[in-house]
Amino acid sequence: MERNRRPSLHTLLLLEALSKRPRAWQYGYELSQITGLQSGTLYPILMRLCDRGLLESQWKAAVQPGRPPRHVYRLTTAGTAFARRAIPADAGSQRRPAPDGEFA
Amino acid sequence: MRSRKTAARAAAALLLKHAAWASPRNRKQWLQAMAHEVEHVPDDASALWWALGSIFVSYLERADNMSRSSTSLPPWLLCLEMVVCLGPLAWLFTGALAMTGRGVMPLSFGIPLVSAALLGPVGLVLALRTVFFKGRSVGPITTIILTLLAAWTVLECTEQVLQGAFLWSWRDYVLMALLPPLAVAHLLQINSQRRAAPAIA
Repeated sequence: MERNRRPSLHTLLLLEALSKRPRAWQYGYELSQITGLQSGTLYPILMRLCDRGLLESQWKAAVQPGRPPRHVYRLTTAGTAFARRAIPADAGSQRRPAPDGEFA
Repeated sequence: MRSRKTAARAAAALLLKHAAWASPRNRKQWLQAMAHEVEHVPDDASALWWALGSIFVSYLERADNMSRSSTSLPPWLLCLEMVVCLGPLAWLFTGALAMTGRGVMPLSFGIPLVSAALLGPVGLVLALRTVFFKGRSVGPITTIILTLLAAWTVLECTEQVLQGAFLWSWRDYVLMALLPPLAVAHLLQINSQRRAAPAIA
């Protein structure tokens, strides 16, 4: 039995960013920039989504030589379906955090 | 300017190293990912902020891991913990009830003491239920009642000590007033994790 808890606002922001390019692999820092989430908020959400099979991750060699490989993420099929259900139709700029960290 | 930049990056690297060290085994890869990602953060302040975030993630995951793994204590160890923590209070309950019943102890003194010591036998019953009936967990009302009872135990035993009613030493106070509520808190935590377990999966 799985508890159906509404995703948090931060999770919705992340799902929205990931579902805009569902087949593309995205970097953690890139997602942080798009969503405005700090690393301490972003990564626990990524972990939980991975644990639930909604997100897949892999290591990708860095483009620049001498840099370490990077972790990349994208939604699984289940994750895409979950995001479609979770993100309201009128989602968009309304939930994006303002520069001071507050939500509009 | 250059040295300050290097210092910030060095601090970030140290923080990330500590975060990876402190993280639970199943999250090492994630902390490694955060450490690698910092190489792509353009400015030093953001890199330092990123590294501080990794510390937060590491501690959070460590705490989460520890709280979940406590439910997997072997039954004999949990039984031992409960007997040590709740046994003395259950013994006090039996003695105080018998003495009050026989009239050896005045009611004005016996009733508060018996009610405060009630946590002992109640806690032992809860412990047996937790150990032997793993499929069941206590509900929110029972949790509230047990919490109130534990608070009453602490208050009443503290009052007894302050009044000098018994020749209580600090060891008695730990045995009667501190260990039983802690044991009950542990049992309630185990039960709450059992309730939440389906959502974790």
